[in-house]
Amino acid sequence: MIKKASFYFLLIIGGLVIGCKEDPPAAVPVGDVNIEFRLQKDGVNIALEDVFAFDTINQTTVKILKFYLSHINLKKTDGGMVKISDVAIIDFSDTTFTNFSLKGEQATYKSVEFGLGLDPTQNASDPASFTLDHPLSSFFGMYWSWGMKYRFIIMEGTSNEKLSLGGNDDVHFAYHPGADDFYHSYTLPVNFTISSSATNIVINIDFDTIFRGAAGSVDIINENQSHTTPDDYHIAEKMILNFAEGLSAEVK
Amino acid sequence: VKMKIHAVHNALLIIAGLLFFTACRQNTVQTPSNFPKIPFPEDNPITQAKVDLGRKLFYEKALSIDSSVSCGSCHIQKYAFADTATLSRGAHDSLGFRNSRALINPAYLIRFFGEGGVNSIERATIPPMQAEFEMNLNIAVLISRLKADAQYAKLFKKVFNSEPNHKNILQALSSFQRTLISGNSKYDSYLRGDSSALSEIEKRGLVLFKSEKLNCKTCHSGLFFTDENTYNIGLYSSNPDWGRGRLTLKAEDYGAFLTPTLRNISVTAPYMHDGSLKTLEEVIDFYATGGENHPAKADEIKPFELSEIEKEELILFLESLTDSTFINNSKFSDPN
Repeated sequence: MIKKASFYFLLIIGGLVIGCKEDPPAAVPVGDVNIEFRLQKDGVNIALEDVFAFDTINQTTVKILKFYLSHINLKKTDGGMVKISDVAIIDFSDTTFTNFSLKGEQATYKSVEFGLGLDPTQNASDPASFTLDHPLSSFFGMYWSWGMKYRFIIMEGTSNEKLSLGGNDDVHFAYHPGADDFYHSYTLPVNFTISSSATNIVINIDFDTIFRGAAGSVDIINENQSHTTPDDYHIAEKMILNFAEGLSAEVK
Repeated sequence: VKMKIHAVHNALLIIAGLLFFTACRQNTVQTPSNFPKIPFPEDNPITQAKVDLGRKLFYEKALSIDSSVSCGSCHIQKYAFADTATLSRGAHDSLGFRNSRALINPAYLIRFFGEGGVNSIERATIPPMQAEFEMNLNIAVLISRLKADAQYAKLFKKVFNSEPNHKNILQALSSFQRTLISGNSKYDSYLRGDSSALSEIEKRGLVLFKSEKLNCKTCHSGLFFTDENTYNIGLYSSNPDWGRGRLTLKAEDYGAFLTPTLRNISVTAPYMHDGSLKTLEEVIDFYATGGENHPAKADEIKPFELSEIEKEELILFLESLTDSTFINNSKFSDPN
């Protein structure tokens, strides 16, 4: 089933790359594009369950990281747009959902554009109306069923400020930002060319920026929970703005 | 002429089919004569087979991650599909954070849960299955379990001509819940014209209930004793539970909860969203105080004075809303 989701992503891509342009030529040359999402700390890739130091915190580990991107487009240098997907879920628990292979129109590009989270219409979707391989189905555990909306990001893990993880003083953090007001579009500048040979694009997520971004620091010890409720809304807001700031793209 | 006859014949067939379909619906869900027609959703018409499947699923413990609880574990028929526990326990003995709401006449409701943020039974059926402190089961696992069960596989094929999927599981469960009609209390008999159905003391309780002094009827209004709005009733001066504010993030909604029905209220204790009041006496005493000062407290909540006799009259009226046929109806019990 999980593999099917990737197929779904590709199906959209395959269909839309060719199908959404105005009056496409009879045969648009396409090339392979691989997009990989990576979580990084100080420029080094980290996987779920890896243990690392963070600021003055002795040990931290991320156990769950998944989030939505929507209305994903590649912008060509001539200003044209190539639509990639209406919605995708990035889930670090399975490389099927961090590594995507697709076909793209051969051209030169200057950026990747997307919304972080779901637009209000998507956010009002009925998960039961989708097959389980669809990113908006309940399968991915992003749906906030009591409020008929979705979490945009789920990031959970554990920190221990002074000692090793596993002690009684571990702090469990859980950040679940999700609200229509949080939905914004972003552009990641990256110059690349899709040609007959494969193009590899990496989208990095910088852990430090998530907690120390321009929207404000998130104290992982004392601000360890946010479910976008009135008393932790400010944490959720900082988290999603910082998360967007922490995204960057490069060609590998 | 032949074409005309053919057209008339076809029209009659369609009308006959529609009449039959309507009759089937009425047989599937028996509604009291003083109740309105049930608004069935177009994409989930009711059938007896679907109701039967939904009933079986309602009591199916395989709906929880450790197969320990079903819907019926926290929505218990003899308590009008509520729970006597202050907070119900879910899979792995995890504790919920609100008192289990009664399932009474849900077919007529358009808002569900304390926040009032869910607008159909189908959608309201999702949260208990997902929530970590309730059934905590990923829908994919549930579908796998049902597909692997030959009896369920056969039933889904029969009812939906399909394998189990998220949508048809919810449709079956919702169809059963739509049959949970309660309209056979003494008060209902009174409404239907039997003036002797209520005793004199219960009638005095009814008068009190409708009085401006108590103002119960403003929120607990209509045939179903709910206006389906959310109110902060001043249960707390702070926000131990944000209520509707959790959904809207608006200060005026902090601590506001959906007005519950009062039907079968005598068997749905404990009361309030957190089950903090144990008896109807405690509830009336609370309202008499006018509640705690909370910035979002509803204007409708005002203190009042009630004599002990009046309190007894009011409680007896509330008890007259109990529908013993509903809480004992074998059509709603566990078929497994």
